[in-house]
Amino acid sequence: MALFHVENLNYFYPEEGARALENVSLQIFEGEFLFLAGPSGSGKSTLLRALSGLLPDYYGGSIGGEIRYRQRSLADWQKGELAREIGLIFQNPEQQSVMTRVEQEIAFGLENLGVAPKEMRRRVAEVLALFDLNPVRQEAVFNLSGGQKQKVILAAILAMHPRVLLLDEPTSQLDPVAAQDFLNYVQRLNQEWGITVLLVEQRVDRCFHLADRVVMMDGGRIVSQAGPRETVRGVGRQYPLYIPPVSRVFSGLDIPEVPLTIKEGREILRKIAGNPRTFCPSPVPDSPTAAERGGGVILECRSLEFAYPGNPPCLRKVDVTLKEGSITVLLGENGAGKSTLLKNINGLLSPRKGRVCHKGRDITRMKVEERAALTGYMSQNPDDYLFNDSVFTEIGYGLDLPKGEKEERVGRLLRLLDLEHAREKNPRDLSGGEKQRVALGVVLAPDPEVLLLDEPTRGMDAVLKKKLGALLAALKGEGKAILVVTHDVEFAAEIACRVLIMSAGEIIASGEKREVLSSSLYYSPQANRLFKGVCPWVMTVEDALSLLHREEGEREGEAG
Amino acid sequence: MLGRVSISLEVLVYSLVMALRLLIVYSAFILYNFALDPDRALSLFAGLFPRSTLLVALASKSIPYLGQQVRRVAEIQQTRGIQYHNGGFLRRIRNRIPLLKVVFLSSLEDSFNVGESIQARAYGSGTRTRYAALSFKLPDFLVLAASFAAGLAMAWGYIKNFGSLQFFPVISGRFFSGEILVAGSFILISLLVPVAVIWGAKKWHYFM
Repeated sequence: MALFHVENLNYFYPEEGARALENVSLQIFEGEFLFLAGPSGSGKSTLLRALSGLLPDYYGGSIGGEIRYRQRSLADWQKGELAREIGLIFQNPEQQSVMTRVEQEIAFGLENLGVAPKEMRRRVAEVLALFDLNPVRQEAVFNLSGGQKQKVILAAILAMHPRVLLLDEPTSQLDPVAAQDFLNYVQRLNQEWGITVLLVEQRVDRCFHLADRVVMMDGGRIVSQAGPRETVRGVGRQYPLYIPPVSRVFSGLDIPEVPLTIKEGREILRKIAGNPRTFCPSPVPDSPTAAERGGGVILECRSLEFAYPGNPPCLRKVDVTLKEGSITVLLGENGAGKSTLLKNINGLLSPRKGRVCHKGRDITRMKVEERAALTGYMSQNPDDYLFNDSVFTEIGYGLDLPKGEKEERVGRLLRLLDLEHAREKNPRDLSGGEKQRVALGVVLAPDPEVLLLDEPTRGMDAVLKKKLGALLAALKGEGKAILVVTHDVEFAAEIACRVLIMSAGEIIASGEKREVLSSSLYYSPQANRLFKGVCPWVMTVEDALSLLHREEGEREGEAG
Repeated sequence: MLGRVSISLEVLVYSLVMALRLLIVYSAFILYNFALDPDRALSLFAGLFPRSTLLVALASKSIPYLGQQVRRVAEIQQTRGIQYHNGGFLRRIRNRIPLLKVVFLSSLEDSFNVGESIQARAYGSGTRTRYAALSFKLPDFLVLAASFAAGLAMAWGYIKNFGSLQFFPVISGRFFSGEILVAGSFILISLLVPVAVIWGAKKWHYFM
């Protein structure tokens, strides 16, 4: 018997012309793990909200069709009963916490449901133990790390003993380690406790194989719902960025079973690769050209040292060189000192020792406000940049130029950032990807030669990442020296010329992308791990595809 | 330029006493914050006034987040080349307006999401229960009784005009007498009881 019966569901958000959900029909069975995939704005989050009963009550708008939960129409359920059955978790843990302390946060939902105090104590104690939160039970939620905060929210929902968990990109604000930790818990809840899970996630490679069924959505409609392998076979070509990279590598080949994990992929690769020496041509086909190595030195950091007052040093003798027309990516775990380094470069912090030079001129003591024209800095949160009423005034804000020149410069940026359609819109009303491009426009407006980006791909889906990568390549083409701090190894492999790895305040590896990433255990992209020992220079799916299809071409040539 | 400034003892004492009063008011607020855990306040009052209690709880929870956000946005404004520390007073204020706009807009957007999460966690769906079971024990009785006794002694002293001060034209009042000494010591000892109770609770865990 199905837990959820969705029939011909249609939904309009208030004051929106387009349908957010269009004729969605779906059955969800008890104990299933459903993965909702598809582009941003395809209606995944809206569907989760509809299933939780928040539509249209909380959002307004108009709804058509029917949702039945346990044979009863969702509209007939009482609010409290429904909240007991269905748990909902969103992206940002800070926006879901109500109480000050961890223990109380977990108890909040139980208090609302009127659970008896004795029972409540037991449930709180149980989830504290399950999620390993006992050491922080008396701490303020505010003081926890992002990963721990999200775990507290999951624990709080789980204490309510829901049958269904609806998760809307729960790991988008977390670093890769914390994200994996979180997803492991979700998997256990599904496998061991039989909780039905509906998951919306950008980290396709981490979730796809966990699912019993993948629901692919596009434009408010369900375009396919099937097991993960069938999904890859069915719509993998149509939506290549929403299937795991491993599957994408093999999807064009004539093999009986498309792999979903690296392990499966390596198995297949062993069969088709044969002798690695002939399989993998060396040297690397596109070893960097002189132009890609970048031009003259724009920015140079020499032996930077920094410590926050009363703390041990968090930058130790850091050397960084940024060249004209190049992209350098800085990788490293949380607390390695990556953001601190960026702030030492843009002048928000000033180093204890060492120098920052711009084209040979020492700018170590230059004020942050004065450096704005030299080093553009984009932080993690684009919302922090947006306060004007239109995109045009936002990007032009504070530009000290004659009117005509200002018009021209902002116009050029709008074209570059693909924002011309939004020129007169309020930047706060734009989508996440557009907001970020506006923030990038703000940073680019004074025409800085150096661009510092802190975690630009956080919370972005694969298509937006591709778009951002193309944009950065265009800026590189204009001669900008770009430094990107990220956790996203796949993105680094796509865009970088050079890669730096930082750990405990030191640069522990630096060099050309292939050299650094292929010799790394932890910071290697999925395609590289797949080809480890077979063809170490493969970094991206595109590399892999070009290699495999060259092989195929040769084989066909031999056969012909 | 000012000529001779004359400061009389009366003015000096008066201002010192006023400063002391201000200090007492501040301390009372700080002590209140320490004494009453915001989580407990929420569970205590949520059953009686669900809406206003939630409002107060969320507002007090958001203060550290707001502080963090203000710092973050201020940094970004600086990297955009906006001068915070230079220029005249008006200019500096004008330069800070965008900062407030960003923080204000973002908290408005956040509050919408918080509301959604609270609804999904069944707030206001029926009668609530309380996690933090508060019960009346011996230490509570001791603290309450001692505070009550101190209050009575203060009231008595007030009626008898103990320690009342006239500052002008010359300082006058009743400071020293046997009665005042007794009343003062009594108040002091009574107010020390809560301190002793807390000390005892730390020393002997089964006391509480």
